[in-house]
This record gives sequence, structure tokens and C-alpha cells, in this order.
Amino acid sequence: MIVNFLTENVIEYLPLLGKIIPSHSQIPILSSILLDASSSEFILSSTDLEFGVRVSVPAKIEEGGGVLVPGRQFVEILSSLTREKARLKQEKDQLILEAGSGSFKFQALPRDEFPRLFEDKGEKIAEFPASSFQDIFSKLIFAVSQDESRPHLTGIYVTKKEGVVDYVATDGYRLSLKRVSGGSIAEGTEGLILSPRLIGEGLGFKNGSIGLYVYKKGNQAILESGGALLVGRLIEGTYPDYEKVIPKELKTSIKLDREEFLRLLKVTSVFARENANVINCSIQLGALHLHVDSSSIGEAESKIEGEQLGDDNSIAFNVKFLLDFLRSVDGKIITLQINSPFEPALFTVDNDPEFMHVIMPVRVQE
Amino acid sequence: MDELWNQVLSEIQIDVSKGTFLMYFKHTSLVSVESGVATISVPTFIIADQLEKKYSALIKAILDKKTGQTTSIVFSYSGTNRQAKKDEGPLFASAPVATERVVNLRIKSENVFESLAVSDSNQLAYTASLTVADDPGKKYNPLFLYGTVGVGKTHLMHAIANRVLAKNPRAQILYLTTEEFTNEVVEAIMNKSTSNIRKKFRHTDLLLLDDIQFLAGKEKVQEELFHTFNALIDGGGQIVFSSDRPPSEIKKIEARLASRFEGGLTVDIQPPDFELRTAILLLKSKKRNMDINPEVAKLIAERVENTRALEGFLLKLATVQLTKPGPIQEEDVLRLLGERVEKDRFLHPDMVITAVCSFYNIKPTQLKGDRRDAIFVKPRQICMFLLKQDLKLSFKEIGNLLGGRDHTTVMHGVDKVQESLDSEERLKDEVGVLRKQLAG
Repeated sequence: MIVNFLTENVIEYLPLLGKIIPSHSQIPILSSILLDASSSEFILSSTDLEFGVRVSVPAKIEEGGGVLVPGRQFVEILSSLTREKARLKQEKDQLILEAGSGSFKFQALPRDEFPRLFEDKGEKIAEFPASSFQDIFSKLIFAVSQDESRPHLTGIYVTKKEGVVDYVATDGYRLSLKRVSGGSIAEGTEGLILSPRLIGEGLGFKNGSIGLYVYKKGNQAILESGGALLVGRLIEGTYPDYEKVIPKELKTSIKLDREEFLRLLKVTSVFARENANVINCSIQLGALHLHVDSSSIGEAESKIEGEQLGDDNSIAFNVKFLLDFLRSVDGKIITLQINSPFEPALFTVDNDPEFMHVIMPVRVQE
Repeated sequence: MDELWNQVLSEIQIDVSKGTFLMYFKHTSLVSVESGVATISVPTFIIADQLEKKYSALIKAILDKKTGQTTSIVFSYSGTNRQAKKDEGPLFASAPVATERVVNLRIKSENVFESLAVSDSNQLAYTASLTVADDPGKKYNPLFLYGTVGVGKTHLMHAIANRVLAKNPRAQILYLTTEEFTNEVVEAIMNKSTSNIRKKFRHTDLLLLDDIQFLAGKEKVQEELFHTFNALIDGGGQIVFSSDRPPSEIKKIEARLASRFEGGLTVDIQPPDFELRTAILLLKSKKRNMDINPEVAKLIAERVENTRALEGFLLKLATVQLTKPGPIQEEDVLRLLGERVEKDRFLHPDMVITAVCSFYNIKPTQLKGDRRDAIFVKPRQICMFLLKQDLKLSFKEIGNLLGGRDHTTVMHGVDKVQESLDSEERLKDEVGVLRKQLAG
């Protein structure tokens, strides 16, 4: 194998490739990176058996071939090179990387040992401009469950209904729903639960567009952007009925400045940490009053003026959930709507009418 | 399956490197072995692909050995193979059906508007209740229903609740007797949690309080009710009260509360008249699948005035029907009705005298005596009245019993009481209570 390429063409993918490599793998194969040059493409790949990355880099291929090299080191060295030309040449059981900065020899292993990441890309479900992908999934990803005993809640749910596409994430305590009307997603896309890791890495693509493919037979979902392919798995399970959780009747609503709310929450959360993260909120006289009583440390009280509609009301939340939500959106005004201290509360943001966040309150004994 | 797979795995462990085993085999499990096909569950395609390419021969060999059959291998996907927990988390548990609804389960579902017999005596109450149920908080607030026992106050209250619930399943409805309300207030005062009560009631859409006359004299409870009342009404909620007498006649009630009671619509419910009693009988007997023809119903309605007694009588008839299936016979009804009167006969005149005396706090000697002071005359005449009306003694007999009086004196006494009964509510009440006491 002999390949010539420019470092600048590969540099953006190096962190991704490097991240996947398991740091302490029992199998030498997995701590390697696959370098594969065929007649048409130069590919770099890494995997941890659950998740895989395959990057195609523009290159001039003098001679085809494939080889495995120690992943971590290869990535690190490549990352440290300047914008220069580089040349890879395999010589027996070594791979030599030559660049302006120097010449580096890596122990090489035959490529056949490396696992195949996918056999078929599958059906193309959707194409998102990177900004849309960000807009949709950055508001969902924080809400997934970390609890493996409810595996289906660890993923992000995607389903197409009449005229809309619902993207849902929940951990049983709070729920994010992005409902995109129209939503150019393939017909028949129902009940897909995407691995959060796949989406998380996909959020790393800031430019261009991202294609989503689903290969049912292999239980896989693939995100493609530019020269990179992210291979993840679909999650099994029946997603709960999220519709019924979205509050329909709400007695009280208040509009608040998001940044101000976030700031005050951060301050009050200092005390909340000692009070099981519980923060008491009451809405009255056109303001949201925050109160934390953490007996051993002290008490915190804060107030934020807003636009109140409806009855006075009160509710208590886990402050962490509030902070997560406020950080995931970027609008100016958020609206909090409550029905009673025992029922889920609804949060919306002014710059995204398609997005809803629901948080289950904490029951407080008075 | 797990057993078998564990055995297979322990053999595989010997043949492959530790690393390989941990990476590829760790999260696998055997789903089934059917008709020569072994389904192995793996987390991802990547692993399945490797297992198939590199280890299927090995797995197959071991499986064949263990099962004694030739098996081919297929793979399925199931994540990490852990059993998913059944409950999805509090958010999903809170979804509509299972919410913390403030509904008192003592509201009987059979007490609905459709099952109430309506006539002049309760028409207004019926219509008002229906209006309130269809538009709670807007029309008559509060709705004050009063009437003696057994006229249908509670039935109407339940009907309102059921109708509101039917239209709005998430309505917060509270049905309490005044006694229960009193207990709650007392407890709250002791625990210093009165603000909780107000919060609880303030978010109620419909509050139904039964027997509000028992608030008489209970200052603290009245105060709490006053505040609750205001909070509820301000919040757009509807209140319905029931009582055995109109607000103006409830003694020892704070003026501001009394005026609140009267601030909406106050309706009285009269005891059912003959026609209504007949209708009620027919309705109730139909519900019990009892065959009563209108003639028989009229017969009963003539003699039995109290709705509770009607129900009781029907029960007796039902028992009869068990032994004598088929339409109810007049003679059976008459017999049973006769038995009722028989029971009355067992009332001894002395019992009447004793009851009247203790009620009016005078001695029997005084009742039978000569003194004509009002405090003695009134009870004496009432006693005469009861002995005549209920025990059906002759004027002469009564005269003898009550200190040797002339039969004309007794006649006069009975007439006097009869006249006064029509005009004096108080007297009516007193006689009513006495009769109740005598009925036992």
C-alpha cells in the first residue's frame, strides 16, 4: 500500500477516530486503526464493537492495500503534524509515515483481523442540514436515561406520524419532544430508537449535511457526513406512550428570561445540593419565587419577575433537570406552565415552537 | 437455555483467548434452539459478523455436542440482554388515569340525574342541580339544598358530581360530610397546617358538603369554611351544601358565613307527595327487577310516607318474592303493611307520656295535674295529640290517662295542636322528634 494525502484533509476526523479506540482493550485488533486503500478510496476506521467510525479521505493512491497500525499513537502523531503532505508506505510488517516533520514507523498487522463495521448502509431515512440536526438533537440528548435496566429509554425515539415527525427522549423523569411538521423523513419510519452515542457523535458535525441510514437486518443506524460514516446500533424495545405525558390543561403560566432564570438557578442550586437537589418554586404576583431550605446549611430565596397568566401556583423540581433544560435551549424567553404541584410541568422556548420539555415535579412534604 | 449456553461458553473459554472471549462472547445469550436452529442474541452487528466469520464453526461444534443434534446458527439483536424494568418512571406513572385525583370514592355512581324521580316537591332542586352540574362555578354558587331526611339531597349531590366527572374526567371533586370537614379542620389546627387545607380546597373544582347544619356552634370550623369558601369561589370552583333546614334557621352560625350560604341559590326539597312516592316505588322496584303493578305501588305509597321506609318495605317484599315468585300480590302487600301498623300498636301510652315529659322537662304528675300554666298545657296537649293520632285511643281513654279530664277537653287539645302544626315550624319539628323517639 502506498498512499499520498494532505494532513489537512484528515485532521478534522482524527479526534473522532481516536475517541472510539478503547483505551484498555483486551484485543490488540481493537486498539488498532485500519488503513485501507483501494482503487478509489483511502479509508481510516476504528471501532469498539458497539460503535464504529469509517472515514474516507481524499488521497492519491499509488498502490492499494490495507494494514492495521497502533491506533492511539498513529492518531496522535498525525494530529501533531503541520499542514503538510504525507505519505504512507507499507513495508513488510511495518507502515512508514513520511511527512515534512519526520519519518515514523509503525508495527503493522494484517487487515483481515479487523471487524467489518457494516455490510450494508441500509435505507436512507433522512438528510439533515447540520444546523437542523443540532437544533433537533441537542435538545433531546441530555434527557435520555442512563439506566441500562430500561434500555429502550436510553435512546432517542424517532417516529413519523401524519404530517409530523416526532423526536423524543426521556428518562422517566423528564421528557423532550421535538415535533417537526412536514419533516422530510422516509415513509414508514416508525418507532426507531437510535443509540445516544451515535447521535452524540453526530452532534460533532458542524457543517454540511448529515444523512441518516437504517439497516434493519443488522439492527444498525448510520450517520454520514462528508467523508465520515458513524455506525451505531438501534435499540430494541417498545417506547412508552409519550403523548399522554404531555400536559394538556394548565392552570398557570409564566414567561421568564432564560438567562436570568438560569443564573438564579445556579446560585440557588448551591443550597439545593444539600437538599436533595430540590428547589421550591411558587408563582404569584407575576413572579417566580425560588426557595430552598437546606436546614444544615441555610436557606435561599430568590425571585424572578415574569409575565404570569392564570392562578397562583407552586411546584418543586429537581434543580438539575431545570438546569439541563435551560442549558439545552438558547432562546430568550422560556415559558413554564403548571397545572398542580403533583403533575408534570411543561416548558417551552420562544425561538422554537416545535420543542416541548416536560419535567415531573418532586413531591414535597410540608 | 441459560444453563446450556453457560456450558457452551465455558468450553469456548478454553479455546479462545481471554480478550476475545470478553469482547465477543460476554454479552451473548442463547435465545432458543428450535428445529435445529440455534438463535444467539448479540448486542451489535459488528459482533455478530465476527462471531459468524470466525467462531461459528466452534460454537456449532460445541452446541451439537451438547444438544446431540445438528444445529445451524443465526443471530438476533437485543442490546445488552438485560430484562427491561416494567415501570417507565414517575413521568409515565403520572399519566391521566392514575393521577392524584381528589375524588371521594363514596360518590355512588348509580346516583345520577336519570335515576331520580322528579315531581313538584323537588322540581326546582332538580333543575338547579342540573344547571350547576352543566356549568359549575358559573350559575348558582353556592347551591344550598335543604329538606328533611330522605328527600334526595345526597342523591342530587352525587348526581352533580357524577355529571361533572362525566364531562370532565380530570375535575377535582371533593365530597365530604360536615363531620369529616370538622375533623380535618381540627386536625389541621392541631398540626398547625391550616394553610394546607386551604390549598387542598382551593384547587377543587367542585366541593359538596353534606349536613352543613352540624356547623352550628363550631366557631373555628366555621372560620375555616369561610376562608375556604372564598378561596374556592375565587378560583372558579362550585360549592354545594345540603342541610336539614334553611340557612336562616341554622343556629349559632357566623353572620358572614350565613350570608355566604344565602348568596347563591337556596332551594328546599319537600317530602315526596303521594304521586312521587308511587313513582319512586316503581323506579326502585324496577331497578330491583321486582314485578310491581301500579295499583300495588299506589297502595304502598298511600301508607308509607318516608322514602327510606319505602326502600325498607321494598326489601321486605323482595324477601316475600323469594318464596313466592311472580308478580306481587295485593294480599301480601296488605299483610306487610298491616304488620307495620301492628308494630305501632305496641306503643304503650305510658311511653308517650314519659317521652313528652322528658322532652319538655316536666314531671308526669305535672302533665296529668291541674295546673294550666303554658309550660304544662302545651306538652299536655301534644301528648293528647300523639295519643289520639298515633295510638288511636279514644278521647275518653286519653282523658282518663291524663288526670281524669273530660273528653271534650281532649278534643279541644288535639284540635289546637293540629292547627298550630300547620303554622308553627317549631312545633312541627318537636312533634317530629318525639315521634322519632317513640318509633325507636
